[in-house]
Amino acid sequence: MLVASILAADFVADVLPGDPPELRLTGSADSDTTVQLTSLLSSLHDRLSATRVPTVVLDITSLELMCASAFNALTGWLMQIADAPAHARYHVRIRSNPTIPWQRRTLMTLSCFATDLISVES
Amino acid sequence: MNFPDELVQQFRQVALGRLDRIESAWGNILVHVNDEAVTELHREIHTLKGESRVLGFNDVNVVCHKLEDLLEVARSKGYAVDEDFDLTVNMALRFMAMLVRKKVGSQLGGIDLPGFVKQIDQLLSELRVELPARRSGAMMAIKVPEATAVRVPAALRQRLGPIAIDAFIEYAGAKGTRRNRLRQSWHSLRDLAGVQRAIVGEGQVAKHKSGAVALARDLGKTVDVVFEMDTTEVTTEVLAVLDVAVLHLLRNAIDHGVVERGRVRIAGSMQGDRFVLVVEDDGRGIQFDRVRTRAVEMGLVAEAAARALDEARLVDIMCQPGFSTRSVVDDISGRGVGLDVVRARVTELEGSLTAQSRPGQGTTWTIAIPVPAMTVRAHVLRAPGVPFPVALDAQWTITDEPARLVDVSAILGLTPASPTFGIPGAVMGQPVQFTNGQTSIAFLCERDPAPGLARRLLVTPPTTIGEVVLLDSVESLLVRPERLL
Repeated sequence: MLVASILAADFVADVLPGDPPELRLTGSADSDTTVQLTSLLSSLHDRLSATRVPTVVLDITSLELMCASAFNALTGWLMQIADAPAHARYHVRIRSNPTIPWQRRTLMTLSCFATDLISVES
Repeated sequence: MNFPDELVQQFRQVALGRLDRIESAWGNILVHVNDEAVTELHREIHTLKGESRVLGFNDVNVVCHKLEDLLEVARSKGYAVDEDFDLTVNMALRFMAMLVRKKVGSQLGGIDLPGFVKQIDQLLSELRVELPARRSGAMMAIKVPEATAVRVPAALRQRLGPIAIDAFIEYAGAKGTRRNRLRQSWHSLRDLAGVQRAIVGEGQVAKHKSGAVALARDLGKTVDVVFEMDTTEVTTEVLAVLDVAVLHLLRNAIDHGVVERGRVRIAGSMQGDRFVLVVEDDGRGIQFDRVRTRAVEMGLVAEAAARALDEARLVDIMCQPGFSTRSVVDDISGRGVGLDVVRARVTELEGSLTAQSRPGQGTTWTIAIPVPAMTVRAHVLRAPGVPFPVALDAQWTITDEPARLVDVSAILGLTPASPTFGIPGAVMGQPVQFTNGQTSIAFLCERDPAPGLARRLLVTPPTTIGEVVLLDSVESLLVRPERLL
């Protein structure tokens, strides 16, 4: 999967090949990472759509914090999937960590954006 | 109900703009709580809620209402909220943006609106904040679009006006590529600060009727809504304010005024230099005693002082941000935002908002907004060295009395002042004197002045040398002679 990773001081985003492929976010996604994250998600979407991958795993079990702008990048990605033609859509399985407060409160809400495309696992 | 595509598209554009402003205001507040951003935040959401209801975007209306609940909680916490609360607010905005883009009445696909609302309710419940009790009842009704033009605050427009005049003069006096470059600057400033025209009339307001009737029906009432609007050219700013005023005053009349069956009359016409909008119902009238009581309860005034307040002052209190006679909130009213929005927008345009009410006979709200004259009768001059027509308000008359001769070209910086200026035979043109009865001035004219009708393009403060007008589609300068002397 030829999508660049992000390696910042306190935040790492890795795209791991596999079946299904996995996007793993680790650390604290603050506003400094938003531009890179947006770009990564856009590239990832292009790649997944083009290769018609049915599912991607979003692993945030070690994502301690996520600022609003980074979270908006995430919702933007999900809306991009929802707006895509049927053949270019894919399912997002969010692997979460309910012991992290922000995830416990927000991920179920996030899944309401597209229940047919998003599922949350803990 | 099917609305014209154009109206729906207009709503989408306006709504997405509002969501951007809401997000920006919310972000600002989290960094630094300030009254201006708080007020803007609540106004934008409340107006979006009303607009979405009218155009049948009921899902947006529902999320708006939930967002207002969230923001009430945030306000009660002094906006010191957790990160996940911030995320939820942002999600609500994104969720609404998604809903706004969806076609009205179309399937929501995988969008789980009830689930989203449930999650917000759960968050609210977890926060254990006591919100105002919710009144059971009615869903949905009315409409109102806002003018599509970019809304530049009046204060900023005033500041831009003199800059735009300078840009116009620089552009008009320039040559070659510099002229092309300056033309772009002038046009950009003209678009921001210039007069944007709109027509207000029956066609602009009749569309509110069906929504208003539907709102009444939801409330179990029967209302006859009558529009009596003159067709008048106004600015888009004025039209936008009238739209907002109709939205909120009509909702108020139906929700608070009309009891079970009634009539709401909305009339608008130019009266002198003002557009006067009247929203009149035959309902229960304003319960001024209730206003006094709530004002005391809310700590706005002491009990003894409240007894002495006259109706005008009580109306003033009703228009304060957050004031409502309702102690409960529903999706139509109770948050005390509607009248506040109307007054704020009317005041921005230096207009007035008044109310007269009689118990059991109804309430009449009257808005008067100054509308700048769209055209000016003028003398049209061609002054030596000035590459565009110069106009002078026709209130100035030609006179034989001697007057000080001014070199318009030099004053505008188009050509250096000539030592031979005004010497007969040395400069082309003949002096023509004008007076307004108090001041006299003479211009050198290449030919006799002609009467013309100037269409206002860029209105500027009185301290400015003039304003840009259109004379036979040619951009021209309507000068203020006092500023040339």
